[in-house]
Amino acid sequence: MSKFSIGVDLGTTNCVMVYTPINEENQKVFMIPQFVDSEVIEARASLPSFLYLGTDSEAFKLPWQNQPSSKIIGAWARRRASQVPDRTIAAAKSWLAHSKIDKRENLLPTNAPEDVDKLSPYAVTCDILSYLVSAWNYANQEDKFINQDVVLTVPASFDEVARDLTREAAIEAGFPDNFTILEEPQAAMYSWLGTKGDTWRKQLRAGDSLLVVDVGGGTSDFSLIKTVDEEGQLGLKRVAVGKHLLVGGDNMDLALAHLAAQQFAQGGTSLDPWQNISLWHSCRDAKESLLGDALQDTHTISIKGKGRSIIGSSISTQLNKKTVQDFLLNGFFPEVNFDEQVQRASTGFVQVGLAYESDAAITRHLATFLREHSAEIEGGPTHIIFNGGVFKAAMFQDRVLNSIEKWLGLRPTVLDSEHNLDISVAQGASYYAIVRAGNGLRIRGGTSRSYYLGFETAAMAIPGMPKPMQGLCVVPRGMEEGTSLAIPSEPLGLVVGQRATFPFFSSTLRPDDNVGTLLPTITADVEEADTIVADLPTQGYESGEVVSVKLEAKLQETGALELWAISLDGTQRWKFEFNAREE
Amino acid sequence: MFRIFQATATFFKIIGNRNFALSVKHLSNQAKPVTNPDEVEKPSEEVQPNREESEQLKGIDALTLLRALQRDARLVDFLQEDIAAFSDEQIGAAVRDIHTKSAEVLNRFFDIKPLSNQEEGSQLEVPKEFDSGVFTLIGSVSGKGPWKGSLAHPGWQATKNDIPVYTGSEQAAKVIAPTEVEVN
Repeated sequence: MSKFSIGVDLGTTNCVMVYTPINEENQKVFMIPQFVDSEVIEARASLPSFLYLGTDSEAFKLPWQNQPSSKIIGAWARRRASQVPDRTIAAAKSWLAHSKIDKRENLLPTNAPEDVDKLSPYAVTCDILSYLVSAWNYANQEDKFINQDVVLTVPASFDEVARDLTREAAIEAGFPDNFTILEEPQAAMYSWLGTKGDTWRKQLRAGDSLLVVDVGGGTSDFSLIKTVDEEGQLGLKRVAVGKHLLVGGDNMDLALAHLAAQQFAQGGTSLDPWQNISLWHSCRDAKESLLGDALQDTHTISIKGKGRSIIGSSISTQLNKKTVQDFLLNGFFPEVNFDEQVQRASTGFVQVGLAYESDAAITRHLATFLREHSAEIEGGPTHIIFNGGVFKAAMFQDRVLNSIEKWLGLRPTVLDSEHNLDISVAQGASYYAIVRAGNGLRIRGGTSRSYYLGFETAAMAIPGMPKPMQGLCVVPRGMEEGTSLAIPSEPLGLVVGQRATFPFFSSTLRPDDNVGTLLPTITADVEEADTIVADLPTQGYESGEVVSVKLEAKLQETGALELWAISLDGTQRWKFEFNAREE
Repeated sequence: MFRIFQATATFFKIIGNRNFALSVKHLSNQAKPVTNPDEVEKPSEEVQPNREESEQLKGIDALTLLRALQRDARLVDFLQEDIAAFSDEQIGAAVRDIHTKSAEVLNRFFDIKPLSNQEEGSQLEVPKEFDSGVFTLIGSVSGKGPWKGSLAHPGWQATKNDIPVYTGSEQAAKVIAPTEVEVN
């Protein structure tokens, strides 16, 4: 019997866990014990999503471990990230959404020295989640994590492949089999609903559309939710999600650090790498102070020397409030026209690494999102929810509101619940776990994307040209949880006992495609998601035999997507795997 | 009266310190009349992280606090530095950050709040029997109380006691900041 509903926010830079005793409303932040220094354990409200691979002499034992381990997760790992960057893994979550790499390949940290055993994005995710599970179990011996109602949040922009990997990692880490994955912007919405109780119905009417703008530490995420009339009751439906954008609050700190470094340079001081890192940290504090309600007009950035002399070797510069505000506002939330295109990197060669946005202008990304989803918005957005620590600064909220008013001629009403922007996603997730148990309103929406299986076109080969590719829509956008769909198509021939791979594509921009829709070519609004591997056991057939099959898509109640091949006589079923290891 | 304060202090210690909480649990288990030895809740190995080591290290909490103040705020660097030669301006620039970070550490561990919520200069009465750890009478103190007077300093209190747990060796316990070596 579950005693708690637990919301887990697996953040790109920080993880937060919030729990609510079942049948109660008091939400509590779970304090996570973690190393903050060599041999010092402190419980903190968030666990930095950093993993440090220490040397053999840096092996430490957490209270729940039997053996010391040199894999350090949390506050101390984040600190080590600035001291020993090559042995530290950050932002594993963004690597999980990278479509061009094998997520199970041991490639992190990318610059690790040879003696370091690298880890895969999947393994790191698993390690961080398993850390949270162990910390919980240690504090709640009687109420093990696996027996609770658990909801884990992911970016709305995660495709089914990334969600599936996250799910698998979570289950391996000790999450209960029936845990639910929830999109972060929806969690922010639930957090608002949770604080409002039933009064939310007074603030929204059927036909309203809500824009959730979530700017986290490393990523930005947009979602659109509509209020719909369901047999006289107000319901909520998520109708669109944006792309995975790797730009967020951390970019601002870095930008500010560059600004400060220029000021130092003008004063004749050039900074060494170590000082630059320390500058970055100081700039985070400066940002919070200068963007907040603080009255002072300047903020002193001082960088202390590496050695023990602290006054003698400190250097400092003044950051002006107005300069910083203008710099960050115009850099990250510039005034743009509605039809402005997002700027792409001009070089064709992109290193294997995280695809950081080359355009840091969040307003420009937002304009693109609203433009691409103008059909779903229909006279909206009427309301807006801001999420993420960045929006503690009212000026960014104002700039977004002013921009939308300029673009669309209406100013959305801000749904404000005075919630803590750092923990609201985990709070919303914990609230959702209760909702899921049947005690509240649920946002429907189904899959955020449509999915396509790629086939080579039957055409004569031209030397030097890849065969053109067709896409068969196997999952339409908005397919609901707990349903399955037979995919109407010509029977496909599958070879059993052999491995076959299919390219897999997805799109957030094709709401009208139905299951079975055939794309004659792969168009620009469709992006490569991953590969699907059919490694089909013979199940009574001869190895190498070609079996005619029909396809079926199934979306589990938990949100897990499955693709099945079913023999024409219906007696045999094979499940396809996403992102299976390339061999 | 003393027992009330002892109980309050113990309460915060239980809240703040898991090891201590476990040892209290253990104590209360021991205090229970035992009819069947099997009924005694045996704290498992897993639940007792380095408890014995922690108890051996006397004053470890103070060292852990000092270490945190150095790590997060570089307070020890500052206090150990000879500041005579520097101008007030130079000191001021460096101190701002040390001040903020030190306050963060203290509030994270102790959540420091004023002991009395009354304004400085306001009138208040000190009861006949008072805890000398809570009130300090100054000025012309005569008679047996209760005493009336004006509040000179509201006092401070730690509303929690959340010193991090040290899990290391006795030798390393006295290290406030490690020797840093830049490998090249």
